[in-house]
Amino acid sequence: MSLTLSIDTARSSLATTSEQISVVSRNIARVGDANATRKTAQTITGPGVGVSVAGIQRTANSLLFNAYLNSNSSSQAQSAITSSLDRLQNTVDDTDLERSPAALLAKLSAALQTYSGAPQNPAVAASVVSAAKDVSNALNSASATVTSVRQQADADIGASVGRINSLLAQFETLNNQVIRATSGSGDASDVLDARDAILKQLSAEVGIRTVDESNGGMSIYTDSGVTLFDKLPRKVSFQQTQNLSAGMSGAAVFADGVPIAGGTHSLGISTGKLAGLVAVRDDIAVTYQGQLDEMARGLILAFAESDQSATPTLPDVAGLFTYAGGPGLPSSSSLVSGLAASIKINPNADPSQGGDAELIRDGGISGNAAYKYNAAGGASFTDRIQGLIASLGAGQTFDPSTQLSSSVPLGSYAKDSVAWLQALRQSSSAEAEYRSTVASRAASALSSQTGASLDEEMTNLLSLERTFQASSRLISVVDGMFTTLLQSFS
Amino acid sequence: MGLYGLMTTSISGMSVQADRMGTVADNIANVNTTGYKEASAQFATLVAEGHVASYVPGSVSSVARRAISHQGDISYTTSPTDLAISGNGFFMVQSPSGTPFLTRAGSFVTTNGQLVNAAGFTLLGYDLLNGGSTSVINSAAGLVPVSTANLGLKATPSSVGEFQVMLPSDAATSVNLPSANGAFADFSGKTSIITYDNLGHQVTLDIYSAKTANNQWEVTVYDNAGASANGGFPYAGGSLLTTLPLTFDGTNGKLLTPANGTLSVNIPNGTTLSLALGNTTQLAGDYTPMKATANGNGPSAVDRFEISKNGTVTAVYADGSRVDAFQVPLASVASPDNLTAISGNVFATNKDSGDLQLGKANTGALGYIASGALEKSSVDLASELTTMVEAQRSYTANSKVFQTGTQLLDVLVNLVR
Repeated sequence: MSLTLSIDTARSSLATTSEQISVVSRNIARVGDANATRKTAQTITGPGVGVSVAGIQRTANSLLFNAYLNSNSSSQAQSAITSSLDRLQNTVDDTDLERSPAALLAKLSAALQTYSGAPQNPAVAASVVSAAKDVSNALNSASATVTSVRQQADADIGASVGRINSLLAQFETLNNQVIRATSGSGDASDVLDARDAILKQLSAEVGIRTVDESNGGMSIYTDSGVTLFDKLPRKVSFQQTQNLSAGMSGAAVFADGVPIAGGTHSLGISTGKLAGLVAVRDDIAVTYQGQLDEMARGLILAFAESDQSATPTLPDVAGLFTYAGGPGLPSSSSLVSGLAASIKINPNADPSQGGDAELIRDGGISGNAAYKYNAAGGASFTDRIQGLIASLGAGQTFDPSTQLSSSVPLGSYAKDSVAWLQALRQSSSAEAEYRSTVASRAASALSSQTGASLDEEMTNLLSLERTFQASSRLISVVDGMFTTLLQSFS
Repeated sequence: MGLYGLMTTSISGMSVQADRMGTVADNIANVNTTGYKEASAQFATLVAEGHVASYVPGSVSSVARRAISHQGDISYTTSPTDLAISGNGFFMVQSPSGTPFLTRAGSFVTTNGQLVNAAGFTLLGYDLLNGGSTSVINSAAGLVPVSTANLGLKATPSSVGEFQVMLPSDAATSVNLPSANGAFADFSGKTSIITYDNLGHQVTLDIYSAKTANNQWEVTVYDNAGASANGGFPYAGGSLLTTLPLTFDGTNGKLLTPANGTLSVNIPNGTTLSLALGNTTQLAGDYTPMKATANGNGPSAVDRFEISKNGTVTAVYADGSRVDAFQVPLASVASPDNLTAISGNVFATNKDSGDLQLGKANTGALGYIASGALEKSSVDLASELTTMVEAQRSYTANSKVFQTGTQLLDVLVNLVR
């Protein structure tokens, strides 16, 4: 060991310590950043003298990170479903307000009961008509809400696909930077943080799995195994539907040429906002729309009129409630899409449209005299009203695809529908809460494992400061020795 | 005779000390020169043939020595093209006029694509590309400047890759097999990988996996260029690259046939890509790609050089791919301390030093190459300063001898008066 060597060693120690302090300062600067991980400078003693920084290492925990990605995806899927269910919930409203189709149906049958007690009173007849109008309006507006929920989900899917594509494009840039930095002696740690941040955002949109490549790059697959990124981003495409009326199905989302959500697909994703939105658009909202359509069909059938001639030859026709396809009746046992949107009161029975409310008592609303029940024209004729009350209370056959019991009276069916929606919303919001708790737990576990902690950094800073002081001291000691040596010449 | 003799003796003593001071001056001047080796002066007596009866003073002569084999301290820098040798050996460099020399000064920077050190000498190595160059063990023949010039843009066609997936054993049997290329083909999984043809075009391979029967699968590869508008079936004619039936062991889910587990795909306008299927399994669960990747790269430019311990110069391309481009040999000679020192911190071989022996770094007696480090001058300032004090004292003593001799001559001359 010579004096020159001592100076070199001290100098390398100073350089290394400076580097380490700069790493500490980076950690402290990003201590509040959720995407920042703790960096440490790896020092090595190599050939020759002193120490050098071999590279910057970053604290990562891929297990926790993947757990966070998965929980984030499933939490986002569930919250997309829950927020749509909240909007659907508005169609049945508060039970106290009694604006749901079920409550209004009950009001309609009560009005009919009252009318059967006072068939000669036109004011009561008008109140039956207005109760009927309330029911049909409620069905119309519920159907419009469902359509707008589906339309919104469809638009959100489009936005989500756009985000996925732009995130994948950003990912490509960062991934190439990581590969470059990994292949050299560059510092990849900050780029890796940025790349992970993109993955976090991507996992909110679609459930993903990642596979590391040997060169530092990464491939991304959906949770159903479809390639989203491998060297290059794959195209995720989606055609938005402009008018999603009842019975129309939205387009599928394609990734890498394979449908991953919607449509008929074998490789459907199961988590992520995209999965939640597609479930709303193609499943939940469709089922609820079906229930509304079935209620409308039940109403039309319950108020249908039959040929009252001595020898009936004419088919049954729609009575008080009619629809776009009237006056013929809809199918007697299976779903007719879009009925809830087009059900309306027959103008012939609506006083506000110049009709006669007493036709409810007499029949012949459809305008054909053959369907008149009250042929004699008696003011206290109640047979038709009693018949309507009976058919409203009688069991009907409903389409089983609506997930409710298929042969019950219309009133019970409407109540079942409310109960189905409430239960679904409740379980969905409980599930969403649970999943978001899991996701935030995973996020905090990840951050406590890999994030920088201020106290740790400050402790490191103290010891680094001491090292720096000691090395500086060494340099000044050697300098003093040289000074002594040089003074011996004078 | 005697008095003149002692005067010439003391003059020779003064002149060798002056030589020694010269080496000290040189050493101190080069105390921070990379790869400088300290010079020193060694003395030898010249004894006059005399009679026993009388003593005849002789004189002293100096021999310059250079401690070329003395390892200097290695200190770190931040440039990866700064090279130091830890142990024996020399870099082969060439002067601007093309003469090969040896040096330990490895502060190379990339100038016009070549690695040139501070003194203007260019690093030499064996070309590993373009057929390689012949290496001759005892001469500089076959050495070329390490240069990015002939590395240009380069594309590597894909030749090997891996395709390892977990196939879902409970999947439904495919009705319309992907290999039939029907519009409504059904399959259990699709993964696409990017490969490159001979010219560096990207060729995206769509790999479909479909179940044909229990424990029987079919892997079908299409060229994505022929995909339909939405990126799937039906593909244009000629897009089907290959299809391969796989059989799995129903008891443990491992691949039975093909036993070697290779899927060969002829990339259009490219080479044959061998995809290793070895770890593909068939288990309960979802279709999961484990590893789906191929080598190769599109055209990209050289980003920088990296030098390994054994002297392999790797060209790192902008897209992160790496190609071993040069092999930097280390030269050794039988007697390195006898090498002729030439301006610019380089050495040339001569009769005394022995001939060149070229070899790979980190093998045999040769040292290894440290990248991002430099060998400092082997001069120790403190010992040079002490040498200087010593030389100064010896010179003064010699001058005193001379002074005394002249005084004695004065006495002798004054006798005549």
